[in-house]
Amino acid sequence: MAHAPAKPDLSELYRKAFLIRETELRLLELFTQGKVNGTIHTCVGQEFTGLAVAEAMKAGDLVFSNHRGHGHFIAVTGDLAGLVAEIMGKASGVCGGRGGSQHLHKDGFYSNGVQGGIVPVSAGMALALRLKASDNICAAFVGDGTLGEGVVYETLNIASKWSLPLLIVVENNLYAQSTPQSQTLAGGILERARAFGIEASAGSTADPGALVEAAAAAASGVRSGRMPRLLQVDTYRLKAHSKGDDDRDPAEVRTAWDRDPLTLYAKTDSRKAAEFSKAAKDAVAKAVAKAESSADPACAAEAPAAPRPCRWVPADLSSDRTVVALINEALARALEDDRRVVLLGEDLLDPYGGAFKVTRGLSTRFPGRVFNTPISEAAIVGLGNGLALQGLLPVVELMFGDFLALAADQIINHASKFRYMYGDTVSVPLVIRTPMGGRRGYGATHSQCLEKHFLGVPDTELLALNCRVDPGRVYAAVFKAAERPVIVIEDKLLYAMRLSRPVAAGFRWEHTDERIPCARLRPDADPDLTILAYGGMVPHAEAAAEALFDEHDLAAEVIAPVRLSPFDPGPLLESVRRTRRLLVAEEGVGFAAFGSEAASRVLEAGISPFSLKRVACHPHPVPSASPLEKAALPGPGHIISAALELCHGE
Amino acid sequence: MANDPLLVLVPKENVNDETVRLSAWRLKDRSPVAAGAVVAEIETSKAVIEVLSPAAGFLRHAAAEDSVVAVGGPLCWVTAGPEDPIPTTAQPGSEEGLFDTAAGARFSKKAHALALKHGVVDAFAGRGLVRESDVRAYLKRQGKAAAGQDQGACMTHLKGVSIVKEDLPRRKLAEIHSLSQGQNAGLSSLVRVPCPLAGYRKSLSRSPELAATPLALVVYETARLLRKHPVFNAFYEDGRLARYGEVHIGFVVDSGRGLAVPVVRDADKKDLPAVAREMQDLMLAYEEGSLSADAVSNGTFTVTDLSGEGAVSFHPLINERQSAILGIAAASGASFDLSLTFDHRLAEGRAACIFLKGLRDRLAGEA
Repeated sequence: MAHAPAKPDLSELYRKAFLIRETELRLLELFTQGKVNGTIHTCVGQEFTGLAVAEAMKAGDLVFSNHRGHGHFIAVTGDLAGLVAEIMGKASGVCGGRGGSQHLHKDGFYSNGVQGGIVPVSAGMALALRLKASDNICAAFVGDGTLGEGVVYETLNIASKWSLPLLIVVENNLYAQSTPQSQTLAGGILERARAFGIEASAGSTADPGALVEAAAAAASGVRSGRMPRLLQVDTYRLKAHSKGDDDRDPAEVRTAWDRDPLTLYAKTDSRKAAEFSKAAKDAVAKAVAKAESSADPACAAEAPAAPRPCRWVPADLSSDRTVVALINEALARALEDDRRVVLLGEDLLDPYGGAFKVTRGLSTRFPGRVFNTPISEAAIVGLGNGLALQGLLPVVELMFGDFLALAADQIINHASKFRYMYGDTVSVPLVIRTPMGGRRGYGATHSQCLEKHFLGVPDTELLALNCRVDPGRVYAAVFKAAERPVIVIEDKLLYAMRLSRPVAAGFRWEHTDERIPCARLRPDADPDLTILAYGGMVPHAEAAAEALFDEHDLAAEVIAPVRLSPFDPGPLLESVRRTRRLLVAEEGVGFAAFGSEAASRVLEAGISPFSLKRVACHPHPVPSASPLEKAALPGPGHIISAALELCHGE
Repeated sequence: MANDPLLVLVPKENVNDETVRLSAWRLKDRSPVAAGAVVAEIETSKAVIEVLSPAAGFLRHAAAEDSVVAVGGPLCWVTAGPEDPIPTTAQPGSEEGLFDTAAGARFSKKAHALALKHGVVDAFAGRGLVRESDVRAYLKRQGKAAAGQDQGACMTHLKGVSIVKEDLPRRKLAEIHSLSQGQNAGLSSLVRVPCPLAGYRKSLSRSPELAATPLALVVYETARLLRKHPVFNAFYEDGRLARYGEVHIGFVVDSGRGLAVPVVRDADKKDLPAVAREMQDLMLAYEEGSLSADAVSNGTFTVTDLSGEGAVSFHPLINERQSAILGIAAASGASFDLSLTFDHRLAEGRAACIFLKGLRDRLAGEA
């Protein structure tokens, strides 16, 4: 590891290292003084990792960090004041105080607090750079503790397979929070990367000069080879994981302090060290003073939209194409009209065209814009996040809605968070399409309706297509105003249906005139009850309404919203105000589900008296055998029985 | 057996489709087909699939190209000869319309049973969904024994009197409905004005078309006059006067084939010969029993003439969604009577008199 210790730029590096260290030490002090909300994770001892990588970055490169990202942030952006203000929760913070220590964004720097989650996001950005034919690269910091996260390996696999310009930097500080590496890590770190065909190299913060060279070599390898690389940086955290949670052997920590490059620098060049330290302290003091004098963030809650009267128009049900063909056309139109649109998912390419054939023909018509992915749901959605943050409009297909569970972290902790926690400086136009629902004997893990778990996720729209609203119209609206994550639930049985299926005499379908419409089956008589249904339950509700009239002399009005979250209860309230009876029919498990929310809205609207019945799936996994499945999932018979109870107390 | 037509069903290709599109026939109807030959392409939700002939013979289509066919339903036949008879494909019974016995109405089973029992099914034409409660309400308005009430009670009241019940013809039921709607809560009144015969005859002689249909003059003049008296070309609804924008005059005909009220549309905009010709056509259709539903609907005012039957006085009844009806009675002496039954909620006797006198002057050539 020969290097020239007298390199002119190395003292500059030390100057920056002192700045990071003094910042971290001052933040710990501020924490003790109660001037920092929450906790902080300092990088005292690890400063040179961020600095070495930052040295290797060029304008336009993108850097991704984690919970321990202050040093990375200062090294990459140099915005000390913005960082300190952010951590102190001030309006002048880089994210306006919304993000805090673990959620930082400025220019090309992004951090998030969930372990490993940012890695596929960085790969998505790397893919975006590749698609834009840019020669910029991405660098993502993870700790050795994060090597326990599966999504890291999903991403390594994809990054290698797709030749993504991504540098993974593993800060190997030997501890996962409090647990020593000996208990958590099997095999080697470099070997992990090499198993994916990714070139891997190592450096150490103990030798900053060599580390700078190693980082430069790794970064230029990524830049010139358009291939991912992994750089392992051996280091040691001199302070606790967070605050007051250090159980390490004090002797071990003391030894590390003795070997710390800044301690050693102070011994070899005490004058310069003192100068750097003082300058750093002054700079930090200035940043803190500025933050303290800065205003608290304004608590401007987004005002709820004023309720507007529903305007109903006749539903256009003239199309006799199958829904799958209409979705396919909508995707083709989006690819045709909007260069930002790319499709990602498993088995999407021709000739297979997706498990439900929604993307059939699209990879042939739009080469290079439809991607077959490995079976890696979390990473695919993470890629989508990265692409969306880079201004593309990714449409991710998850083969079965059940697999949303695998991607939940990317949806809940990433897609839905970025815009808000980064202070409204980014948007995430990510579309996730996925089929849900049972009645095909696919069994417990391929038949569920899991959408209730994604209702109410902030800043995320959840739509459920149904057989009486043109999916082409819904998707056109989604693509036209894409600025936030949208999950679109496509019922499996819906694919083969046609909008033009006959409507029972005496009933007619109408839509609200909104961007994403609510549908209503209106009986040609004053309705006796309201049935609220969405997605795959809509045809069952329609059949039930017909039978309820013929057999039981009851006129039911069906309200079938497409957008479940955020939910506009207007059309529902309008109907229930007349009927005073609400029956919610949903295919998923009913506990704490959409029906509960809808019923609450009716109560909150002060509609009284009002009676309620809910019909939902049996609260056990969806069985495979046909008679068991039929009994478990609600159909028209269940709706009819519940309606009779509701209307006659039978 | 070898000669029996072989039925080819629409194959089930995946678990999702209940119907598929017959995207193309590869062989024409009645063309010779070899075993294993591709006869059609069907488009499932997942793929386009070729359907092969299971045998040699002649192909007989059971569905049209580009139509949607049910999985497991008939696709085609293979017959031994090109013209062999093939079984008629059972059309799936349409459940729609099972209770759709009055045009534009759908009855619940209970409603239908009750309406049938009371012979009032036709009264609900165009009423959308009809529930039992709707039928009960209707019967109550009609003053009929409330549905479900014990008829035995009537029987005891009429002890010793035998009753034969007979369903009224559909046309009569429609008339009852229209008239009872016309009277429903209405406060009708009647005024009568004599019209001198001499002047009227003189007017008739001026137009040769009127020789066969003298009533055309009344319809023609009434239509024009109604534009000046819109209150009689109107109806009462929920405390409001609902005026018609058009003048469609219905005239009552009944030459023993049952009462009918054909309508001359936009009578105020047509000249006298046109009105006369149209009335002749309508009367002819009545005689032939070919009056269309259209021809007897949407009247905004009605004229009824019983002078030919010798009636010197009668009280016409206002029709549904109208405010007045003009009656013509036979001459007594040198004049005949024009009478107007009108809805007193919308007009008073003086207005009715002014209207009738205006009409009299027009008919007698004094206007």
